[in-house]
Amino acid sequence: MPSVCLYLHAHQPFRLRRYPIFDIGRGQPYFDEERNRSYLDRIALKSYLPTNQLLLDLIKQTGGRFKVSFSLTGTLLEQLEQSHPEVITSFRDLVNTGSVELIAETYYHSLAYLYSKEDFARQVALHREKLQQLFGYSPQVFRNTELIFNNEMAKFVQDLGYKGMLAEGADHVLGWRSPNFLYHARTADKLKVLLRNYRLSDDMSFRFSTQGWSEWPLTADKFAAWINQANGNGNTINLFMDYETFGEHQWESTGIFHFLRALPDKVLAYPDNDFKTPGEVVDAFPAMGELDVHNTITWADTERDLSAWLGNQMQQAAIRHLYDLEGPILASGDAQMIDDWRKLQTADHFYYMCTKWFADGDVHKYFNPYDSPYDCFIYFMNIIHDLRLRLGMPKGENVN
Amino acid sequence: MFGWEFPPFNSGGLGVACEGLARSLAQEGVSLIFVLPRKFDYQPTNYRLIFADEDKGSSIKVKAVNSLLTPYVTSASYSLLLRNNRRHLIHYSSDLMAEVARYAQEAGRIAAEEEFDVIHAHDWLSFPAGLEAKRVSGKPLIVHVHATEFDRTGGNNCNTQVFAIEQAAFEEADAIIAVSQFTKNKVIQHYGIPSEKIKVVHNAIEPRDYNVSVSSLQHLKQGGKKVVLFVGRITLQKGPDVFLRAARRVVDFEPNALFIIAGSGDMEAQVIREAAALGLADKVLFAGFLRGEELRQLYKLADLYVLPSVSEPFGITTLEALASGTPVIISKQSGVAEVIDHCLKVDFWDVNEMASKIVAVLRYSELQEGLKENGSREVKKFSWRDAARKCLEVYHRLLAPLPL
Repeated sequence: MPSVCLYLHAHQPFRLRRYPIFDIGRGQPYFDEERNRSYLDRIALKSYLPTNQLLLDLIKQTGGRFKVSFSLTGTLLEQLEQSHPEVITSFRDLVNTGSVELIAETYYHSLAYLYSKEDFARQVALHREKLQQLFGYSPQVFRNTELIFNNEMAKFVQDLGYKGMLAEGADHVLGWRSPNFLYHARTADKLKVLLRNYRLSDDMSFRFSTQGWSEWPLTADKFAAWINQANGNGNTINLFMDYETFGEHQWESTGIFHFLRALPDKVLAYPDNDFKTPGEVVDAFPAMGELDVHNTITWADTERDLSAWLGNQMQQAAIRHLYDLEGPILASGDAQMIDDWRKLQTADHFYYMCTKWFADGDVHKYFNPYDSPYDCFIYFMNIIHDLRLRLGMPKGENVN
Repeated sequence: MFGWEFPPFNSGGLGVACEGLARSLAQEGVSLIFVLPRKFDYQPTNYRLIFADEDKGSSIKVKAVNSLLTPYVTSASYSLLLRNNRRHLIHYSSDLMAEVARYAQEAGRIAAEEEFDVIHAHDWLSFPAGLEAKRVSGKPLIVHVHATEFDRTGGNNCNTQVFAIEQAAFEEADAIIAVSQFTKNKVIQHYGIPSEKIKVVHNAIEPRDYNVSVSSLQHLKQGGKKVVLFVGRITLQKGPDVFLRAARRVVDFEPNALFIIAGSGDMEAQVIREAAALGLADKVLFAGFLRGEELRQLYKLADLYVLPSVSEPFGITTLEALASGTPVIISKQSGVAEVIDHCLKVDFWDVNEMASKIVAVLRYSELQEGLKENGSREVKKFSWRDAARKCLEVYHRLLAPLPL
């Protein structure tokens, strides 16, 4: 009897302002308030609000048998509080149904684990505080930015007190094994790991509107049948995807909302099936095997690695210079500066500097607010210069 | 095929593009006759070159080459006039217009003597030649737009004679080839030509070794100097004044920056004076008009190439710089900006952004490396063979029998 575990990731970064060299040292803001607001306006309207309403309806219609889980980053929640408090309210309504689980992560949707475990732990704590403040909620399952996962991290997360963690069901880690069971890392036997079923997840989030796909159009009937095929050969089908799938990556005109509306009934029509949240999956099923992940995996691209964030020299230089400032920034005790520094850690900034498929005009251009990856690097480095000035550090002609 | 200039006797990208395209068309099996107005000592191996001024019993006497005749409008007074905000029309010397007309007459004679299927004419100076050849032979005419009068003048004080020649050619031609979507839009917008008549064929560069030795110029970078390069005619269209103003902003942040302007043109004296007036006398070097090996050395030496054009139909120099492994900042008002991603792009009027990006490239080595590595890879996708094949498609379409 497979359970369906639907987990949706909602995030928006604080995108950088076009920050020319001449702004350095002139107290100019780092983030593009107007642009961030306009992105949020659009996504709230097209995706968050209608999908939240639909999910709430589905939970009520099924008497709470339909369940869903979210990760809501701190940078998103902060922006929603500022300009779209009605979205916060609608998330609160969902949480109050008892059929919704919230997942823990870093407040800033950062790559901090790879550069500063201390600040990583602080950012996870900040996110817990935020969930407590807005929703009165304490998460028990963790996901790291972009589902970053490796042996060492599993141990670290277990030691933070989490009972479960989400990761990518990468073929090169699983080999012949199925993502539809729970596992634990070699280094952390008390932390159960849920692996994303990337085929079924991507059917929904990527291929749904691809007319050249042999299974197009994807109906809820068909999809529920695929899920049911795991019967007897798996405990949980983990459908992990961006929340913006609904209404943004897949526009309303693709029929994605109709699909979602029909899905719960179709899944529950099979008597053995149900919906579970990640925490319930962890409680219900045993870990069936051990994962041994030395090289960090993510849910990104075909490589399932970090190359979209840290693959080129610009990205590596930018993030190195940022974390080099950790000591003096934290020592300054300047709350505004510390917050600025952490907002600069948001993974999206480094993603926007990715050059590997830039010329192909594919998904990486989507949502990139800059003309080019090079522009993002320039603004980012100029801001680093400004941060150094604010810290009273020697100006230096070259930060390299 | 009718052209106006050819390397090594070219004054700009037109001649470079004509030669690249002609060679590749010939390699694609086209039996090509390339006609030029004036004789010079050059004979390509795979196609014929004809000079309209060669005496073949023609009744028309052609004057000796006037070195002032270039395919580019002189804009010496434009910026001055713009500043004074006066309307004024620039007249070409009667010599140039007379030469264009004579070239057309010779073209008619040549068209009557030679065997060919299509006529292909490059830019306004040879459009009358193409039109005359079409009239004499009845063969289809393709006009190839490397620049319009609106590019050359920035849209102000267009020469009415040139404009009229372009207008007539665009209307009477059987097909138009534009070097970019940017240029195609200009032909649609300013000349009212329907979009379906215009095909975009982007320029390319010759695959050759741009990794030249720069030992003879290395002293320019002594003391950690960083070279920012401008290559182009020193004329309003190319934005040398924008380049200077950006340089002024940059040197406050990067005192080691050295700006080199390679080219000549009607604004040369003015730009030199302006450089001095801005206190940049020792920061800006004027290299004069360079070509071939010397130019390739300069591309290679430079830490950064800037194309600040006000209106650039394509911008072949950008490809040459990239092929030399030099990062580029290009005007968004250019055709090349449509086809190159691994570069920095700015609006030509945004001097602050241009200066900011220049400083960034000089300052952040990872940026310079990233642009260099990805840009030199990206430029490899351009070939004159592809451009020639697209022209061939146009020929075949015009020669195909009409459907019954």
